[in-house]
Amino acid sequence: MKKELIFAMFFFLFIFLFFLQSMTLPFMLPNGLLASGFFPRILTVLILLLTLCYIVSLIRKMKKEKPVQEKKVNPRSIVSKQLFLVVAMALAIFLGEYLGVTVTTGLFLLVTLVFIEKLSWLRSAIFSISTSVSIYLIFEFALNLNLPKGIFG
Amino acid sequence: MELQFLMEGFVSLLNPQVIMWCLVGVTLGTLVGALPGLGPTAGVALLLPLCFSLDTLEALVLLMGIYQGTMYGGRMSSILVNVPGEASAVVTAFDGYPMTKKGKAGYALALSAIASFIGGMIGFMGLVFLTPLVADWALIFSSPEYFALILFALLATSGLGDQSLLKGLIAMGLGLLLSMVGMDAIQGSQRLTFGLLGLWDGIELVVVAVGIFGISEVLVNIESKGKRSGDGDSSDIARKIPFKELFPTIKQIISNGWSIVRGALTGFFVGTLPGAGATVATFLSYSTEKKLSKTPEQFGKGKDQGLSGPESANNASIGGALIPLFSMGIPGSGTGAILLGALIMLGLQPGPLMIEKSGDIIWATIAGLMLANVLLLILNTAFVPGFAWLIEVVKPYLAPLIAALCFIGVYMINYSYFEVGLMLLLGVLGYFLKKFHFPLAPIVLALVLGGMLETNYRQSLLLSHNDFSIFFTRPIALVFMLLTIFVLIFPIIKKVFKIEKKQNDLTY
Repeated sequence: MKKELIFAMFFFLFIFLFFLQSMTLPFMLPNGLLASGFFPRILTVLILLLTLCYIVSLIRKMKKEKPVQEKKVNPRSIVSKQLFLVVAMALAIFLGEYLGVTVTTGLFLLVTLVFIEKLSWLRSAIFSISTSVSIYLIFEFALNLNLPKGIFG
Repeated sequence: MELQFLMEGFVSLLNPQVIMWCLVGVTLGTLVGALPGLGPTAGVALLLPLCFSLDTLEALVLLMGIYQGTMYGGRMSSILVNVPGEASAVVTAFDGYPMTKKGKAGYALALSAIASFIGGMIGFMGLVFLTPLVADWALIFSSPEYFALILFALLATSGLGDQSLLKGLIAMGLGLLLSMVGMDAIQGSQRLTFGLLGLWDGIELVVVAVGIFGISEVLVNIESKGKRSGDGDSSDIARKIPFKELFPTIKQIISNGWSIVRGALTGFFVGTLPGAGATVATFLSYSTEKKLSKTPEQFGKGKDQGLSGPESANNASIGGALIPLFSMGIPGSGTGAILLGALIMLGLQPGPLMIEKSGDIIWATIAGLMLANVLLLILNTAFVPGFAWLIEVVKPYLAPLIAALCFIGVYMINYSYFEVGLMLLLGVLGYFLKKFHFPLAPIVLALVLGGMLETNYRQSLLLSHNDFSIFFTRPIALVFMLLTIFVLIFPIIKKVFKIEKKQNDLTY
């Protein structure tokens, strides 16, 4: 419940950023018609109100319910795996420019299989290489689409 | 007349390449749909990028194959491992999984495939005969009617499908907000771009759909796997499917006949309603069969009718759901919204005139739906054990593989790494939304319909010189506005009269 409340507050802030952006847009045109800022402003205010209701309902629930001891299943290892995946993908976005899509995909698969799925290097390498080759063949020959090859191009 | 157009549609399909793409769609759809957690919406979103390099007809036939395949694929994980791939597959597990425990997994899968096929055919017939009628009727729609209809579709999808209306509304609001990023359609000015050039053209539907369904699913998958290994649960262990008694006999099919027909009719009509869709149809069909049965106590213990009725309803809902999409350009579900996005990306203009302007393509697509249904029956009765084996083989590689497919799929739309980054961000947001039980379909639906909603609202006020009563003085618009109000106050009425259906009614 606490985590959900933190998320709700972050979400509120996220929408608030959109609200601030909408404030820079015109609300009505001089001829009295609706301008580009009308919908975004009304909508962000509505979402903010709904999110506030959500936050209040969460706080009320927290007060009513007795704290339940959640069964912790090594949450740190789960979160670190999830973070690893997100960081690996962010790195893949950066590396894609230089190494091309096929090689980057292969490397991404290899490290995530080894470090997230805890598979052996050999098994991961076989799967990564065969997947990358299949992707290359499908895009280049079946779909006639050129995959960027980066420095290998 | 419709039959003549349909025949012409079938003639267009007489091309080996088109049939091959339909087969590819059905196969991939079945496999993706069978992966736990990936339902039709996520499945179609993930496989959507495949369509961009094909010509319009091939792409649409591929999509129909994927749609049908994902709808059936979800049944496999329900029946074999008691893990429903998505909401509409929950009912399948009620009697499907007990059949597996009795050693009748093959029989359950084959019965499910046959019921799905018959349901799909009945839904298909409804689609063929009703689409032109609805399209003719929709021609009298103007901006106020469209605004009211879209508003109704959005709110119905946000409110009916899930337990929390509040969360559904927030999800819908988020989708609408994302639809407003980029250029304002009427004034032509930039908005909500935060100064980022990559957002000037707005946010692509595929980026959002793949992010919130694909990446979030990968993160959920890692979490649930971690929890299962912590619990020492090994329920995913492959179970052998005995080949003995794989196919139901004619007598057994006949004994399920009425359940299948009832399920199909329920599925078809419920499928046409925005927001209701396959999930409501399957639950409704299950409760109907249980009520009509002479042995209701056997439901939940592997009763044939508890499987065949809902399965038929599930696939019949496809035909129903495509009617508002093809005739008015209004999707009634998350999957419908992605299909609508695909139609637009393929250069079609969804709306009442689509049948008139691009009739050849649409009728061929409808014919493709039937072809996909036939291929699905063949594939899913002949290769059921093979599919089940493949799913087990892929499982250890699932999370990274889906992530890699998301990466490539989104990158290939515009060759843009900015969009891949955006997908990643939306994926993380989608993960938290999913974790805290927000419905995700309203986000996609609102993203697709947001632009239409705003444009029609502003055009209506232009017509009426800013007089808001235009939405309440025209009969059709008034009906949809009243329905919208009803959808909004329905949860309150339910609470007041305490008619909330206890889930225990459907326990097994």
